[in-house]
Amino acid sequence: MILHPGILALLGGSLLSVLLLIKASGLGLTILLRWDGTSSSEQQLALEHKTWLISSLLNAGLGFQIVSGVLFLATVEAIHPLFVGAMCATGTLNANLVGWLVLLVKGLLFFAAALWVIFNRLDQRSEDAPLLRPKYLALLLITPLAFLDLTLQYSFFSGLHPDIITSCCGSLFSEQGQSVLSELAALPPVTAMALFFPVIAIYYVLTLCCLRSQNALLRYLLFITVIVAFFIALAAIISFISLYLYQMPSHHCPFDLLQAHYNYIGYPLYAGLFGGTLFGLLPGLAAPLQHHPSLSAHIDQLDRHWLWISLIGMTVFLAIALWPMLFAPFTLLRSG
Amino acid sequence: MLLKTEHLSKIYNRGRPDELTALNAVSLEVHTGEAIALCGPSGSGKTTLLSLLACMSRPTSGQVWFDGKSISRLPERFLAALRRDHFGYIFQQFNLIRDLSVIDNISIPLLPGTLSPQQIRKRGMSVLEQLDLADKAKQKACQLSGGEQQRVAIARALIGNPQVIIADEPTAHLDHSLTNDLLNILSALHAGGATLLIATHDPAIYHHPLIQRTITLHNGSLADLLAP
Amino acid sequence: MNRQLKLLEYALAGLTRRKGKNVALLLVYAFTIAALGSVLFLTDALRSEARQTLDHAPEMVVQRISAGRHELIPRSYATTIAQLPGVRQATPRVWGYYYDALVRANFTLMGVTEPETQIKDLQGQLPAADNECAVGIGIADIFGATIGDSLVLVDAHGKNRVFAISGIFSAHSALLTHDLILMPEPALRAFFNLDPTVATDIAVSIANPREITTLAKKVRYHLPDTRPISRSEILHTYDSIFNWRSGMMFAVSVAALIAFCILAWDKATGISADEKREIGILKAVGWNTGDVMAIKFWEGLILSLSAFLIGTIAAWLHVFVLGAPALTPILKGWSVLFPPFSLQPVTDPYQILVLAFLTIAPYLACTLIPAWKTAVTAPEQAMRS
Ligand SMILES: Nc1ncnc2c1ncn2[C@@H]1O[C@H](COP(=O)(O)OP(=O)(O)OP(=O)(O)O)[C@@H](O)[C@H]1O
Ligand SMILES: [Mg+2]
Repeated sequence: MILHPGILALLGGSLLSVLLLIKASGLGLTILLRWDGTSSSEQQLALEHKTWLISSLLNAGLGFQIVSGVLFLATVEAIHPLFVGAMCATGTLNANLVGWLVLLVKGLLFFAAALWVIFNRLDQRSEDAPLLRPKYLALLLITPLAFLDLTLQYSFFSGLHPDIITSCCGSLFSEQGQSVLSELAALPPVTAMALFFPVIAIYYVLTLCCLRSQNALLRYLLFITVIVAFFIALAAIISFISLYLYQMPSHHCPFDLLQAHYNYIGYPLYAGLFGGTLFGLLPGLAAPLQHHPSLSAHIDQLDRHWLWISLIGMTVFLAIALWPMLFAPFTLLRSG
Repeated sequence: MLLKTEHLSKIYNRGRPDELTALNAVSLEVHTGEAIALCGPSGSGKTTLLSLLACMSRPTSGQVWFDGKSISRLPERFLAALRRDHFGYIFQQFNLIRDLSVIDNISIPLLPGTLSPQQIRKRGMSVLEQLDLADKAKQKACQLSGGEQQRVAIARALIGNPQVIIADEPTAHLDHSLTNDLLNILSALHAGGATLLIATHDPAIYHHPLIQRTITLHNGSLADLLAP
Repeated sequence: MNRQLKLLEYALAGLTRRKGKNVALLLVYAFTIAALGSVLFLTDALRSEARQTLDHAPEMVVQRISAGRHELIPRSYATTIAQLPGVRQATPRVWGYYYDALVRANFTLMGVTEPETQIKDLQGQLPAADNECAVGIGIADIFGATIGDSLVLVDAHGKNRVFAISGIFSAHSALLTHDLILMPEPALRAFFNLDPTVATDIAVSIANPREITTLAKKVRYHLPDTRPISRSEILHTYDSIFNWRSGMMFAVSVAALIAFCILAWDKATGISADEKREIGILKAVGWNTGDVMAIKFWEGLILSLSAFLIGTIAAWLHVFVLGAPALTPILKGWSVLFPPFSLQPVTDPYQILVLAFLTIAPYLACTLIPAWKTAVTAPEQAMRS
């Protein structure tokens, strides 16, 4: 275990958010058991008050997840000089197998918390709160996820010893490696582009169609497309987008983008991708809720907002990714 | 019909030894543009009834309708929005925030709404002009005289252009001439189309020509319904 | 958005209205942040200084190990190493520690082979003649010596040798040169009574840093009694030491932070009657619980951001302007001759992020539940006060 301030901050913060979420799910459980929308007893009033506390606990939890995601990557980057062979964040993550798992759980937790907060807002717009039960049941699932995040993070950091010799992007993302990630890097840019551009094109077409039509099927298709596009985009970042951003023919690291050296370009890039994905999921998720009379008007109204935000996010992502391809002197694919 | 109640009951501390029935099966109707006085001895449930009508609390049983819509089971955020958009409340103790300026005090109800700060300020100033307070806008509430405080409290009730103005013993702390001033203001508001509901012990109010109807409460029940 | 801005403005006004209570809280909060910030800034500055200095160190150093003990290395090894492909240069070095009984301190004596080279941060010249030396600022200070003065050291035969000081290293590179004495290599050999065929270790410069690990293996293969140490290994030894030290101090400061949060919780729960009345009024005139919680959140955020700003600036001044007088006693054990601080003011956004996360997140979390408790005040309250 390394007594590094960033690590202590992350572990302390995770512990705090687990405590907040345990409190929230305790309250959520009471509400699930006792809620009676037709009653006006003092007890019901107290339960209604509790819904406010839960909302704000979850809002705090989401805010925390976003900051702690950034802090996690920054910390992993900051401690890489402790490990022989590590030249950036990838090296630290490799020092211990759990590292990548932490990243995955953090990503899941971000999406879960964000979806919860958004659907909670939607539910609060209606007078009869039709999503009350599913909402608090979902809360009971998010809490163990946060707990998993804490324990994985602990085992990751406690398993880090300064004398570990690790491998870094050079070997992990090298085209000769054997891991999944090196498969991605080995994904020839041409293949990656052949997957990436069509799926992005489909995304744009579907989003524009959704903006013009109320059709639920289109929204389900968009939902699936967004998920596929998200993973292809991540693969594309490793396979060729990073090469253009770094202007180097074999630098595949997805984390160096977040460094001051590259003007923190990775932050808007990933924010665009995550935001675009999150809001692209929403119309498809909300479409089945249209049958609640108290929600349908609100969904119609929010649907357009979501589609626009998603569109803006994806466009930011795409603009940053494509900029150096179109305007920088570096060329990966030589003609002829 | 603007407001209607049906078998409205409010029981405080239900199921505990100090249980108390403050209102018992009250059914009444208030029409748009009426001016009604609510009378009754102390402890008869006037304040309780007003708070139910003004969407500040929820009945133990029975229903309240506002503008044809049942509001007794609405979630809190909708009740708050109703209070803000349709009701103006004049409290017995003025209830101003002491060290906030007059204009800030009367802007409070509109802050969570959608109006911009400039629009709120403009509305506030026009209400203050209406009540002859424009020159006091920047003064702190605690530096005002009792009569001025009362008018600031009225200004705060008026800033949202409410349909219903509810006053709970508005003259309890006022002398004779201030009571007259208040009644003049209320008359002007009534002439402007507002519905008035005033709880009071003060004969100066319920004998005033403004009042069209008096409702009397006794131990939480309606005593009688008198025509003007 | 607009709504939140209006609520933010109201929260700001609310804070200034309750000045007395909030200023006290702000000061305690800022002090906690300053304490934590000082630890972070100081250790980070030390670490980056150590790293900067090490940037000039050779990529690899080869020592000879005999029965686990550091042993003198034959100069011929340098030739063997220099012939390995990828090695740019292999230079035998002569250096050693020297205990001075008079001032009771350890010095590092090092031999120079190319006296013509220009060295940054050196005032004067490198020693050229056998009775000359260049010294670090620490040694110059101990003896009160300047350029041209002479330094007396006792050699391997117990004889006093007099060296003229030809140059002094300035404070900028203090961490590594602080206790250093440089003299021409032949002079140092004579001083230590070393055989001309051996050296202390061999500095290897390598063209491609990626080949360091491979070359280290090759050196071990060809010269099994050696131990190659790469620069990154030295770097991470430094880092581990700093991390351990800062971690310890850090734990203490975090305890202070927790104590502060308990205080904040207490303050937030013990809400005054006036405030309670105000919230009743807000609710009665049309605010909902969420609006009240929003102003409580803004109040907390404004308070913690201002405390953060004050605390961070205070920590920065404490460390980089005053030289961290409150922390040096704890760090002193780190080195025999601890270099005086002339730390370059560095501000790493990462350190700021860590500090912000550590101090703002717990405060906001601590005030969440008390804020909710006050926010659910019944609007009816306003009618009965
Ligand atoms: N929060 C409460 N908890 C318990 N009892 C209450 C509460 N509020 C009011 N009561 C009781 O309910 C009864 C009716 O009170 P209410 O304030 O409505 O009377 P009122 O007619 O307004 O009296 P007054 O003319 O003195 O203002 C009283 O007996 C009072 O003690
Ligand atoms: Mg009363």
